[in-house]
Amino acid sequence: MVLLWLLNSFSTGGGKIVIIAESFSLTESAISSNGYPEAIADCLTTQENGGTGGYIYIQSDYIYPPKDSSSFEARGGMSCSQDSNFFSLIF
Amino acid sequence: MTTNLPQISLFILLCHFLFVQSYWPPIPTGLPELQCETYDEKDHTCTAPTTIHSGFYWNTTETIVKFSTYGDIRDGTYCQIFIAAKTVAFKYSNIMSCDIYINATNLLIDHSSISTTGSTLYGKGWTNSTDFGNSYAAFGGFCSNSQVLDFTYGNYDTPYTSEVETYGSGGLNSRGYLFGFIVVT
Repeated sequence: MVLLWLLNSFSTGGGKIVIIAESFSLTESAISSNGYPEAIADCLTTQENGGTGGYIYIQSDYIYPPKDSSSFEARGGMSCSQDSNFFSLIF
Repeated sequence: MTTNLPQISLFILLCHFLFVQSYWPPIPTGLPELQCETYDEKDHTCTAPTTIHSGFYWNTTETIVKFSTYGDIRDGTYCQIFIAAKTVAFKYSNIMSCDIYINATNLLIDHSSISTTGSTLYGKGWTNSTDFGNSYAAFGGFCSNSQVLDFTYGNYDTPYTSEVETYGSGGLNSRGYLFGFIVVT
């Protein structure tokens, strides 16, 4: 987790969203902490890695069922990948 | 028989302290307080400005804070948002920040987008890949919530593959072992 937070300190990565609420209602809304870019990168010009997904933590006694296309997202940033040179994160 | 109970208790206490501290860090020095557009003394209700240009904090736990606000403050000097209030309501808001912390009794988010998505491709710490055109997809993030939500995810789980290129993101990649993290507690 610490490593993920360090990664998130870079501007490519999503940040942190921490929500602590007794009751939480979400309607037609999005909570997102995605890495950049959110769309597939141009392979002809892009040599940068996508940013890591961020961190979303929600602590609530009662979450009203999110309605109508609401979402939580912490996606990794898209990129153009032709290889797999990744390390594992263990939490 | 000897017991390690005191040591174990101390360890648990330390872990709890670190856990709580890590989720709610101190408010950064210099972060300005939210300037309400209007403040209703009778109802203790702060109506936030319709646009924001900086991060802020609001730490008055008996109040109501209403947002119908737009702002992309990710590249500002202060890009964090800290809100502690009795009720926090976002309606038709679109806020992009670097970190957001909300502590409230009631939180309502309606027709809004609350985002801490990364803002640039050229952040420090990332290295170019060796071959022109190559770049690496990122790890998925980390979502946790206290109830099972079908659409909570921390990664792309559908790779995109063309005949010549393999794209990926935090999720699956046809050539990699990428994965995101989903924790439901």
